[in-house]
Amino acid sequence: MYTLPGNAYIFAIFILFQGFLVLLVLFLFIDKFFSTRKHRLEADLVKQDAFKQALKELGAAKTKAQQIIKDAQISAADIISKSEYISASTQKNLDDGINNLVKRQELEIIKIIDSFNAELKSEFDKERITTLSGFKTIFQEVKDASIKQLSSFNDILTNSSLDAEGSLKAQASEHLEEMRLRLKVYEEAKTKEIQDKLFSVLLAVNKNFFSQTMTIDDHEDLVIKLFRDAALKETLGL
Amino acid sequence: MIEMSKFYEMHRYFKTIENTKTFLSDITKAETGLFKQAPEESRLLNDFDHKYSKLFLNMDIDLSKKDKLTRYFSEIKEYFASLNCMHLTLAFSPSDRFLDTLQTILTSSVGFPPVFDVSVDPIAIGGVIIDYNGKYLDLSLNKLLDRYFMEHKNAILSGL
Repeated sequence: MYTLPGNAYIFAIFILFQGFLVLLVLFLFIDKFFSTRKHRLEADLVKQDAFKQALKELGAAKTKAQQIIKDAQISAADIISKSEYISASTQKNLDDGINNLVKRQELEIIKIIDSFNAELKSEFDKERITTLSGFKTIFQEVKDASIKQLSSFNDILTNSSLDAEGSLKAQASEHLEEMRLRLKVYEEAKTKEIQDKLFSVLLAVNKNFFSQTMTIDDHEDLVIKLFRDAALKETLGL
Repeated sequence: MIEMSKFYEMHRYFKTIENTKTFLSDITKAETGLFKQAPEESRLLNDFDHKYSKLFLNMDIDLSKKDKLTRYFSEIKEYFASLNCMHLTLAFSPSDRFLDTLQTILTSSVGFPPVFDVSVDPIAIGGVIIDYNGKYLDLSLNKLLDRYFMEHKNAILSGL
């Protein structure tokens, strides 16, 4: 029977141990490889969902902002239409002014939201967001900033509307002053008209008085007196 | 030829242009009678004579001289056709007495008794509007009152 020398056992055990370690490392490596890939896939899915959700939220914010703008525009138009002292041309100018203001602000809010979209996408691309909680943090920040911006924009719109209303009131007041002046001129003209009418009536009454009270003798005496007047004869070249 | 002073005598009879028109119309009828046979001729001339005998007597015109009548009538018509009347606008219908007084007043100034062309217009109220020899003079009460009121307008309005 063949027997191994004492050192050979030790060597064989060492080889087997090494083989086990290699297998173990290999196993661990394979396990790690698959595990990381799975994790990345999961993270990607989460990111995709989160990105979709972020876009959805931002879309809603955009719609809300547009609604705020529309409401402000309607409100401004309502104020304009109720201003009785504003002429058609002034009303049109104010309408155009409000429309331009709203268009400018609409573009501004769309720019802000689009900028957030780009920022969010950049965060994903830079792999700064790797976990759901990370995304949630970023999204919350974006959402807070968006709400803050919207709120600020709402304030701008409200102030603009108030400014527009104030401007309208100022214009209405200006028109009121103009109306007062016109009224004054009208009153003066009317007073003059009434005075002229009274004057005409008084004259007509006097004429009527003479024509009613004069007898034929009065008439004849008056004409004879006139013809006796030397000045009359001179005027007629007699 | 009828003398001018005799024409002026006619003015005493015909103070207005309306009177002269009637006179001229009667002359035309009398002229027609001259070319008619009797008794039509006699009737027309007698009517004329009856109506104007006194006038023609004052003018020393003998209406019985039928051979001269045509010439007289022609001269009279020519005279009145060219007569320059004094146009008066009055607020009343003037009486003969009134027109007579006016003629008397004006005779010395005009040189002869003027014949009046009278229009009645109540708008004048009183007084007279004279249009004579291209001169116009409004002495109506209507004009006088208008002028008075306009001159005193402010005082009248302040008293209202």
